Amino acid sequence: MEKESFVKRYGLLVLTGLVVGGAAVLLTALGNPANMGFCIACFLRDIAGALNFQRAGFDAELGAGIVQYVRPEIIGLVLGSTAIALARKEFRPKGGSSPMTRFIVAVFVMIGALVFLGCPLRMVIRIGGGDLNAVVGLVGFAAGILIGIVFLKKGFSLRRAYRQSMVEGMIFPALMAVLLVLVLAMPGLFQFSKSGPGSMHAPLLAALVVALVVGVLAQRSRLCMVGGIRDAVLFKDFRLISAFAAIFVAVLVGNLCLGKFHLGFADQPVAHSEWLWNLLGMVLVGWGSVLLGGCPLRQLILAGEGNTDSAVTVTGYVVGAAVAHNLGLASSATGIGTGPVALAVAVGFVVLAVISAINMQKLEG
Amino acid sequence: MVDARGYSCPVPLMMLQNAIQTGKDPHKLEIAVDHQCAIENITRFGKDHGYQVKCSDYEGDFLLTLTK
Repeated sequence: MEKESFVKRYGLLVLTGLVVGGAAVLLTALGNPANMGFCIACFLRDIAGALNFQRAGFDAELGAGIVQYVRPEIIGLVLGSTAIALARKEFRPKGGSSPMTRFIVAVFVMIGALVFLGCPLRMVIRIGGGDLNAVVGLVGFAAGILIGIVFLKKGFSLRRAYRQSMVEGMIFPALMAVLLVLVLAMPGLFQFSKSGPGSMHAPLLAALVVALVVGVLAQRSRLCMVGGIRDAVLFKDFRLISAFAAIFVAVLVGNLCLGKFHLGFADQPVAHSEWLWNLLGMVLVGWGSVLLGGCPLRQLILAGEGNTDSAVTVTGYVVGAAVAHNLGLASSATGIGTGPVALAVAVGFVVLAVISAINMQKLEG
Repeated sequence: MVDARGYSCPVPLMMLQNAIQTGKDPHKLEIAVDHQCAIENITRFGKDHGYQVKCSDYEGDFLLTLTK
């Protein structure tokens, strides 16, 4: 039996991880908020803001909130995935695997991510910047994944998806393309922050090009932050987690070179130090993402490949972001939100537990 | 044959593991999948566990045959 070489097994994933980490450092150097070169949760939240679904931190004088911007990174990731999937005949429209259940789970994954202040990708980027609050988040994330695995082993699945038409599969990528055209041709349609994280961004074209490259690599390598820990535990497969490690190393080295590495809990950029909420927020993200079959980044890439269940999931994230900000559930640099955060997180756990329990069935085979 | 078409990751691979443990013949398994990611995961898992893996067309999707 020939043994797969180390390079063949890990090469593409490690390369993708290094590029994603490098891209994150680059985008921050070009203007994105600190430790937020890439953050799928934050960027979808900013898009929700640009569409005026939320205007957190609204300043009457400036006439805008603090997290409103059409992040071209999201558009680029999806379209990069679509382009390479079409080129390699991997674009396969499908859906129907419990879409509304996915929508609900996605809403709570987003609420959890905004309690913590970042998706799993930003969590790793924050750790690479020395933010120890994100290490607390990682503990919660891993715990959440372990809870999800317990249900997977008991036969959890959101049932199967079915083939759909090319038109159905292309709608989400087309929406992203339309969003890009509109932001270029009619920027007046959107709300843009004039202060706060939403006002900090890399130049549009640079962000778009970097994200297209990352989208292509992520589609080819199947990069997934949740899959990393999940597959290591379930199958002793360390391929995806090697990309996780590569992102960390690239961000760490980049930050050290630029003098942007600051180890500690206090005064970390766009982060708070309420450890319990950092932990619990990421338990929700980890658990929910196992139920969804992938992290927010992976959902964007799958939506780009024509998976309409993932497109529904991304829509759920956007709604979750609006809910989180409008109800005061999202955290900020000063601490957790002023709304019923504990209640929302508790409801999230109950919802995930019910969904996990009622979707267990004996697997065939 | 195990029909894992349409299931999100990691369910197809778990169905295969289940089939290896409980199936009639652990030396010959067939599993149908519908995305590249599942093909790669199952092929790699099969090869790591000493199987020869063959991929063929199946109703426009893919049928993986594992033998050892």
